[in-house]
Amino acid sequence: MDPFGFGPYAAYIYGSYGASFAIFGGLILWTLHRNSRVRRELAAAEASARKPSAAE
Amino acid sequence: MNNSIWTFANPHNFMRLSGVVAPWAAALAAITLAIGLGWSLFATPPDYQQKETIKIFFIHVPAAMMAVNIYAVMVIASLIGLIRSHPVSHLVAKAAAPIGAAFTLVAIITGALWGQPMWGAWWVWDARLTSVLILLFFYLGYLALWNAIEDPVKAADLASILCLVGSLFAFMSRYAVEFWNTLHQGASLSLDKESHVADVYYAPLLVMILGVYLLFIALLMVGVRTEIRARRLRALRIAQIGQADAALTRTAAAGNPASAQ
Amino acid sequence: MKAVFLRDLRLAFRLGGGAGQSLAFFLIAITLLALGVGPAPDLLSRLAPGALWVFALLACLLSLDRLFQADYEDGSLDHLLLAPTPLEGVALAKSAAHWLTTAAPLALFAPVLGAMLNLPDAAMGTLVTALLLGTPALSLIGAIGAALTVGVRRGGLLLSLLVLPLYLPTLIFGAMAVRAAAEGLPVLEPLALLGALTLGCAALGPFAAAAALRINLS
Repeated sequence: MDPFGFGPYAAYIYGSYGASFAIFGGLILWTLHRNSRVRRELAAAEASARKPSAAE
Repeated sequence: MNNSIWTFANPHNFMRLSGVVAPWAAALAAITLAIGLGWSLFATPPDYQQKETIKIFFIHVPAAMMAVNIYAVMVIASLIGLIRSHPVSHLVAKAAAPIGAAFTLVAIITGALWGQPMWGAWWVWDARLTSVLILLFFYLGYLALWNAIEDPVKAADLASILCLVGSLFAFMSRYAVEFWNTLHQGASLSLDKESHVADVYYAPLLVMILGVYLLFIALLMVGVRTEIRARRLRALRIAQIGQADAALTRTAAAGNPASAQ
Repeated sequence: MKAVFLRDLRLAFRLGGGAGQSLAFFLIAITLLALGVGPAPDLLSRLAPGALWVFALLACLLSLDRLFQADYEDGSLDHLLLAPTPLEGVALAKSAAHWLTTAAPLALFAPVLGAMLNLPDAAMGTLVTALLLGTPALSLIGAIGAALTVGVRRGGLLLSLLVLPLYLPTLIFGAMAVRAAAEGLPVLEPLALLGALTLGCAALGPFAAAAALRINLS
């Protein structure tokens, strides 16, 4: 279970980098997801604001 | 006037600038971090004292640095936001907070994973570890206040006050904890690595630090863009609800004069 | 300012006495601690300085969320905003009333509670001094938190998340003074730091609280 040959402390090193990648990966995905969702909703809201007659 | 930094306090200008900066920062961050990780993980020798666990430092040190620096960014942004009431400034502080909390969490987790083999314990109440934990509480409190208040303008000002007051107390806590620690615990194996890091480790560490800075800039830009759009979305929705309400009362008044009274 | 102070005091006493309630809370918390960790006297006496301070913090925190909220909801805060007394003075008066009704009685009764936890007699004087010197800072810092969350319904948990990290320096110096006294060490340094902290909070707290109140009332 030590493909990179980190020696006796390999588990701690893998753990550190694994946890860091998980946290940053989660942060990046959350940021991008939120960004695209807000973009989509804003585009929809702007489109419906441009055609006020459609709402009535 | 056009060259002034305050130009970017205008949301429109900020969107234009950040639209260019964000992808570049993200690409550079990816390249720098790839080089830094490869170098620090596979091209550095084990330390004579810490053996291979030195490799944890290449992520721990930059994360701990960013944990403090991002809070400083928030303090400056809050101060500018309060004094000059630039909306973008408040949003910079808001977008920086989750990134800072993530870096703080990484610093704590990697510190614990380093501490277990080196100190024989996952957690010791060392002055540095305790201060970083306290910093995490400040990030969480700041985020919680933003989430709790509905009106974004009030939330921005209140969160800025909290951030400024918090920075004073975070600073004081740091010294109080040091004072507390030196009186009631023996000196533990020092985490003070910046001062005696050998050159072989220093160069890849610098690359990693540059990488996390770029990552922070990229994430911050995307985050602020999201916040600016979210605010515009909110304004549009409120306007639409207002229109819909007006339309409703108009039709109600026309259809049934008695009910409109 | 004096009127606000007296009015808050009267209200606190009429509503079942904030002082009595926080004393009862203190007593229950200490009983829970003793039941939780066991009755060993040496263990209790080692825990006593920190535990008494932590309970004082919590007792203070529990009564904070109503500090401005009642006045915010019934609109008297809007009147106070227009009154000739600056809002900073109102915040200071309210912090003082809060301290007098919650923390000051705790400080005076602390020797009894300390004795229940086997705190050495030598530390009693320092315990009272430290609480009297340090707890005003808790009320003053708490006023900032209460002003920030005055518009939030059910902000109790949020308030504790905001305020407890700000209480850390007070807790550290306060418990340190009592522990030093129990071990026969000099107590002047932590007590001086504690006093400095309270003075600093008295200078800063009312301004931050008033600024937050103005934003909330706008």
